[in-house]
Amino acid sequence: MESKETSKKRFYLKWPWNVLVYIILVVLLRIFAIPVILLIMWWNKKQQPDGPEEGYCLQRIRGRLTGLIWAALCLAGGGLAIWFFLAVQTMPYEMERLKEEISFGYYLIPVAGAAAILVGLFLAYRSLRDALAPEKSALAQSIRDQLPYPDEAPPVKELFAMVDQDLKTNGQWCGKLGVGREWVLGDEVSSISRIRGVFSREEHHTRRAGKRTQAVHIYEIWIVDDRRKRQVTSLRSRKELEEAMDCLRRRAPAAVFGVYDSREYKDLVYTEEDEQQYAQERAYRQRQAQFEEQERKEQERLAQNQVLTLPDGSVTSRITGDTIYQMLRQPDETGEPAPFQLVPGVPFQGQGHTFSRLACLAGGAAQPTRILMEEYSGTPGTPGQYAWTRDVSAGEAEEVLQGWLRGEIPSLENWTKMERSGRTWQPLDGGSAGAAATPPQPHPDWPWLLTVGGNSGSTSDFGWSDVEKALRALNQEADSYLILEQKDPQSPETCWFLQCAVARQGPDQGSYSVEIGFTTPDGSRLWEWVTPDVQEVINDFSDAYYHRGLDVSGFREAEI
Amino acid sequence: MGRFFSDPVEQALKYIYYDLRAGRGQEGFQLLQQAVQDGDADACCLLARCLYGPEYTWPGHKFPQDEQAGDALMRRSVLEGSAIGALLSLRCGVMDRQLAQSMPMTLQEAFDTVLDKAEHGEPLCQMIVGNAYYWGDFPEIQGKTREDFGSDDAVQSYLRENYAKCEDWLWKSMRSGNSGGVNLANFYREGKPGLIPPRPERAVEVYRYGAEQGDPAYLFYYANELYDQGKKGEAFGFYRNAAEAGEPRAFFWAGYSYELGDGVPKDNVQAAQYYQQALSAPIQEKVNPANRLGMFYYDGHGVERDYAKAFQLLKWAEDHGGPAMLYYLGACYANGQGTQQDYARAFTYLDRIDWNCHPAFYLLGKMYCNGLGVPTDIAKGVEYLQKAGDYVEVKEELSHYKKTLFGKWVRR
Repeated sequence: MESKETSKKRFYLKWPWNVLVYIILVVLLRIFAIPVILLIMWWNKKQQPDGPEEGYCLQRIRGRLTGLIWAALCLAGGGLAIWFFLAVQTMPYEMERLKEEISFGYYLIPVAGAAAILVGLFLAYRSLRDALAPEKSALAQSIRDQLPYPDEAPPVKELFAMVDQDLKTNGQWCGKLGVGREWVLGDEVSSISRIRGVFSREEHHTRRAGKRTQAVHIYEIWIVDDRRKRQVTSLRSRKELEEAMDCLRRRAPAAVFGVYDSREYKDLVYTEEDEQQYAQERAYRQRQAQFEEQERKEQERLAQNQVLTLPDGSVTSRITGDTIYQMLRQPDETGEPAPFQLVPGVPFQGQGHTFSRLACLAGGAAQPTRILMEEYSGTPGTPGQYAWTRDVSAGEAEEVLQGWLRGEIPSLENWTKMERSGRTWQPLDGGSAGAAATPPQPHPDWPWLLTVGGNSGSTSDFGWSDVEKALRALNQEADSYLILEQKDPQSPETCWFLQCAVARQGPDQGSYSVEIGFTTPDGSRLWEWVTPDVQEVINDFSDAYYHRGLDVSGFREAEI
Repeated sequence: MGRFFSDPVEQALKYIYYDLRAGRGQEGFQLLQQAVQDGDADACCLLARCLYGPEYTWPGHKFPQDEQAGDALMRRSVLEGSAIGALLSLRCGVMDRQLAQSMPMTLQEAFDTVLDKAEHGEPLCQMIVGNAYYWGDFPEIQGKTREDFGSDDAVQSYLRENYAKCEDWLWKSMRSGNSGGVNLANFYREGKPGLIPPRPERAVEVYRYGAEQGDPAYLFYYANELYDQGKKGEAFGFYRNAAEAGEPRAFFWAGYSYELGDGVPKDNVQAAQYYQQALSAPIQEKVNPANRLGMFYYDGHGVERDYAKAFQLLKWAEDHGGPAMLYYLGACYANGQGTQQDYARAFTYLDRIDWNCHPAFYLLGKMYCNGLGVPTDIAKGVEYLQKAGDYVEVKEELSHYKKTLFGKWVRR
């Protein structure tokens, strides 16, 4: 259920209305606007569960507008200092006293004020530049720096889209640090393939001012790239820092991980000699190769996602193109059709359906190969109700099977849709209409007789193990058959039988042909069912022998 | 003509009973078949024993099993006048009244003939005589009934005296090189209730003696004894010796010792080969090798990783009464490895794990958090994930959830 919630666009305050609302709130409520603004920000975020609509990068640079607060503080501080200095100039007594008390400091007041104003102006410029002119933002520049040819970088919109797409698809967030498969978005952007070192910085500084103790905590992640450039991102807590380190360990496993200002950090950042830099790069490449090998093995493990069942009942999930080729060509060597099936661990979709099994009766080069793809029932372990089948050449079969191994379904245009009927299939739009007569069950009281081809006569002195053994011994020879029979003790011409032989020719060659027959003085009727699986035959005979209710749904009446 | 039987029969006896290490049981079987075709009555009953199943000879021979054909051969042997056939048919239950009346000699005459050969040193005859005493066939052979004794004490005395004779004959048989003297150990272990007390310490002597002779079956029995006594390292050595000599019942244990690296360098390839041999051997106990090999296939230890084979073996072992490898079966179902993905079934296995199994906790955590096979319960899922150890995938899964200010776990 793709919920309406996710498909329907939710309302939220878009840029720049959100900023406008915040400004109005500040003007109206002053300091009390802060909790309201935080609440609106939280709500806005909640309304965009799939990430900010304008993209992570644009949101990040627009967030730089908060720099205006610092700019305003600087400007106000600087303005106050200059105003104070000019005001004192008009009062000679006060001026003399201040000169005496703070001497040189007095002349620093206008300088500091001017400096604060300049800083404020710079911060304001930077914030407005980042927010209003993304192409000139520091973030855009950091992305360009990570590209192989920064001068040929695409427009900023494409740059941001590149990073946004990766983060949207693969992103993991640790505070404001977003880690994708290719990019890391923090205060700056890093390309994961260029990361050579990741270092955590955690420092705590305390400052005493009179009776007050002020603590400053620094949590930063330092990413060093292959050009020894550093991208620093500030985080809010140790937890965020640890999460970010773990996340980067997974995404850039070959990089050096450590603590800021450690020996590893200094080795990586301050190495000047080419030889040492080359050695570091070589070590990185070796680690990268090891991780890629591990990844390859893991992919190989994950690729074992299907079970191939061979005619002898053996199974394997080590399926390659060669395996399929050999299976399809096996009839050319043995002269017998080779039934096998492929079952994916997780049913997969294609052509608007979900499929859970492919059964194949390989005919080799001489005979067509029959392929049947079964639709998933929706419940594991429950057979599907529909299937598509088609007779194809060995070459086409190989193509279909190779595609199946990749989770691809061919166009079903020329395939026949089938519907399950017991243990067999019948065409959905064909077949006999109306209720077909079903074969009768064996009589509960009539004695059993067993006839095994090759042995002389029938016997009533046998047990189930004899029947099972004889069924397993059936082969394609002319005298190889088995009949389990009942005769009415009162009227011996009335009999019921279940017989089995292995088809020696035709499309079902090699399969077991099972027949139920019922003879009365009025005539005889015969029902037939074909299966490649001897176990199914044994189950049927067992159900009949022990009167457990023989499943006759797969049997079709045959003309005598 | 041999000293006691025809040449082919004597040769066959050597291959089938006296020299197991030679691994020429099949040749012996063919010699017996040929001798049967040539009308050798002794060969008939010996071939019948081969067809009765591995417990009558040795599992390492891998003889085909066909009880009906065995019975027919045994009857033929009796009717054609084989003395050992008469005693063996009595032992295996083929001797009925009709057959007894049709046989050309009495049981006592047959016994005397076999006894004569036994006294002259024929090991199989020594075993047959010993078994006739051990299994209590002697009253029927001697035609004794309760009425022949004046009192219960006389009966007890008669039985005690005759049962005890088995000890000497079975020892003789063993010392002559016959491997089929397991009843001697059984005699010591169990005694005869009310008549002869058990002496289990002497049973161990029997096994040790057989093992010292290099008999594969006794190497296995002796290893079992040592294992039961807690001397696992020593036992594993004997299991390996037995397996190397072809004893199928020791294959699993030899493989297990290689898997553990107990008394031998750890070697998963060798272990997997022994497990495979155990699975294709004519023995009953196959669930343990199936489970171990299933785990090997799952982990890719000693064999190439193959989930389908792993699942097939593990499920087979469970369906045949073996202990369910809860994590492995759960993981197969949860990940769709070797079988179709089925979280509900995976849960039935994983939920039963009551030890510290990190990968299982990870799977349970993932299933609870995502409502796979169980109702969604992020708090419970996170609890499992937090117990699942310091692994990359665990951390990645955990990173999808966070705790709210009110202490509730929610998806990020």
